[in-house]
Amino acid sequence: MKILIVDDQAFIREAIKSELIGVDPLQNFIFFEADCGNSAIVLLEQSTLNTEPEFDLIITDLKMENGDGLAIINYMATTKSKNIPLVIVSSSDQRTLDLIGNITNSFNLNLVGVFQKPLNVNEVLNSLNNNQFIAQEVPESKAEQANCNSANIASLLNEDNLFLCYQPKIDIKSNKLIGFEVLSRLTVQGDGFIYPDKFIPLIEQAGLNCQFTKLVLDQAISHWQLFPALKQYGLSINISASDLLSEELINHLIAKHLAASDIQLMLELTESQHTINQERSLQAIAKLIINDIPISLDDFGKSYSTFDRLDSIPFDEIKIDKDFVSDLDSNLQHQAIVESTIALAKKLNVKVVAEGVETLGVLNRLQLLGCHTAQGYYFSPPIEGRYLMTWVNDYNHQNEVKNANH
Amino acid sequence: MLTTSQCTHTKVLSFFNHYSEENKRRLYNVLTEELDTLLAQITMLDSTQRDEVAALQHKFKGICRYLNVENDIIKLAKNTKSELVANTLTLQQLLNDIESEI
Amino acid sequence: MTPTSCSYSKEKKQNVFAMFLKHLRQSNELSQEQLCLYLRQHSSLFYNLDTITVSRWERSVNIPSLAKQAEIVELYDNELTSIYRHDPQFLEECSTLVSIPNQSRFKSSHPYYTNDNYDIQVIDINDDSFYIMLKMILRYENNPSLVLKLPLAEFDGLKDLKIHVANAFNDQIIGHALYIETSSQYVLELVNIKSDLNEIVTKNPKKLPDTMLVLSSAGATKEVENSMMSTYINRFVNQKNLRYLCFSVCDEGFIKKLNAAKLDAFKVRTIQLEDKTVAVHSFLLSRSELMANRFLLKLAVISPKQLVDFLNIKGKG
Repeated sequence: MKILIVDDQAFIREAIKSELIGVDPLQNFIFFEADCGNSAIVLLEQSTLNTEPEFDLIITDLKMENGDGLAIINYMATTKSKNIPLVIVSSSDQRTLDLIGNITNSFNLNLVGVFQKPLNVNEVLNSLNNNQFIAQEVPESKAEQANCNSANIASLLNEDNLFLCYQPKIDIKSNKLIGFEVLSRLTVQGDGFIYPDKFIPLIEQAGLNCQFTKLVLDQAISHWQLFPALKQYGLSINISASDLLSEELINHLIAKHLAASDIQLMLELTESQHTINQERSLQAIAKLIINDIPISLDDFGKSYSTFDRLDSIPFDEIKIDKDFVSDLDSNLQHQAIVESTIALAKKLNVKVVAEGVETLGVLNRLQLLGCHTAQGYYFSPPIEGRYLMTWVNDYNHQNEVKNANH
Repeated sequence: MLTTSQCTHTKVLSFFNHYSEENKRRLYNVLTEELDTLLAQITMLDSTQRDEVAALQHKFKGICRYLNVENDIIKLAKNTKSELVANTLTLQQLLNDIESEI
Repeated sequence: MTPTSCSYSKEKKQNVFAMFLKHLRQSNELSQEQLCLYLRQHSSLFYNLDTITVSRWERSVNIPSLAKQAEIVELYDNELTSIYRHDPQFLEECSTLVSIPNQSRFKSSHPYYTNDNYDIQVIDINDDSFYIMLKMILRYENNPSLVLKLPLAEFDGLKDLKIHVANAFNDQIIGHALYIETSSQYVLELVNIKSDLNEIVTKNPKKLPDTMLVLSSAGATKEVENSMMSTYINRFVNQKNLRYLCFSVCDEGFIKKLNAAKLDAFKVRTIQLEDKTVAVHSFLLSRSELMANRFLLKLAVISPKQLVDFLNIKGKG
């Protein structure tokens, strides 16, 4: 991974380099350094002339003599370097950082983020990873982790490593448990849990998404069949846009559902915006709905910029993204977004689920706004399969006690 | 008893202790060199050269942020030359104290 | 656990889990097929398990991840920590994490405090030094959301806060940890910056605490950091009512350490402190997630007595 670090202080450059190596020791880092904007621009010019690959990442300070961070931004905006992921670091105050962020975005650069010193290198590498699969041109050397990367994802993806957890969905008015969302993890040796944001992009890129969805479906359905008391609760599984494009997968889903028709299966569609604009996807959704598999639109608010075509699909549910919900009671913008989403849902006659409910304040506000269902750490973090029945029994018992006391 | 200076001492020490042996040494040397240069630059300034002093203050602040001792060393918000000289000397002394432990 | 008489291949050392399986089958008189069937019938993780795989596990040819080991072990009313704490090789790895390292040949024989012996004390509200320690730790962590109002009237409410300190010679403090056992809902309020330390300590949870919240953890060296961590993580695994371990910290060094241990924050809240932005990183782990992480499992296995043994291995004066 080829990284350019620009800062007028040698110590800061050294610290960043050491950090990067510390966080990802197996990565082959090739570092280039510049102590001012002008030298950085010279390096950038040289790299575009050579036949070598471009930089994978530029980390730059803002305040330097002989060409500051803004000079680099300006240079990049007008040359081939504009797609290189850019990280801006500074000791300036937050308002300045926000302003710089806005300026950079208006130039349409590939801005990973504007960070304060000291730079949290792990955050940067994570953001870089998450941006990778949305980025226009995917560079060859990515910021990948040792234990889970594009080289080994195919071998990691099997039922041995797949570990499912279940997060409860609660009806706000009655406090009743109505269903669970299935959340997947990969468990590899002693590395704890690897979360979807790390491996889903890799799975999509490798074209393994259908295989993955089938594995998830199999494990989840077998859990519901092992513990039949769970059948009174809905089972929601995530599917992606690329899943919908596979006719084979759609038929498989329908067949599985038919064979286990006493399970209330629901599919949560991610990246909905992009998807529902495509004819083939709409047909796939329609086929599923006809076969009694309801559809939920996930990450609502993040995925949508317009409300085009929402009326063309008879979907069942909208899920509001946790970023808007978790600080709903203190962030007016987010409150407005949630309010209008709930209003929209009412008009379309669909249910609304708020994700990421962590505090009582947020829950109360949601109730006032007329939201139907809530999901989040407030009720429970995702639960491992073996604890599920116990949790359900405890929860129902507590609820009975609460209701009895009213 | 954990005094303030022990607190700062431990923080700076644990900053270095997160890196490998050779990295630690290199980082330490680069830092001491940089502080020497910074001190030299500050002393050459006239205390009326506010902007230049502020620029060097900004650099010093960046270093403190990385070591996580900003609040311990930079006590007053004033950007005077003498303040900056005093703070830089304090940090240099601290680094001197921990040299044997690197 | 009585060691079973087994002959193991000279190339592969018997894996702890493999031995556990063998012993389990023998003491329950189960064949591999029967064990396989039992697992299939009791856990969806093994819905497709076949006997060949079970055989491979036992021969240490293939070992499932720690997370899956935990599932199997718990189906038989056991815990991963109990299995691993008897394994000499594993204990060797634990020792390496916390033992005071040898002095490097290049350095002089001057006794650096970081490589000297130290002991660990638990301090609570009944100790004279509690309040001062608390102030110092909060100062170290510099988390703007952990503000404590000073008047002594609050004193009693702090009884649930626990402090661990590592003392080297001359009362030098070279490590500390600050934590509290409370309910997950209060922890979430704090993590979302909807409440502060005052509130958490004065509320009395009506139910048994289910979460350990760590507010600060540090050590002068990696080994001291690890041994501080082992003190509260070991306590966590031994308190069966605790389901979640939460770190909510802004010490960059410690955050990096957690990241290096393959843990990511589930929430990062930024707070303005004059012109600086402080980022509070919060990590939430369930018991299973903790035990599925080899580094944390090692720390969990180290009991206080074992820690004293490991620290005294060097035997320096």
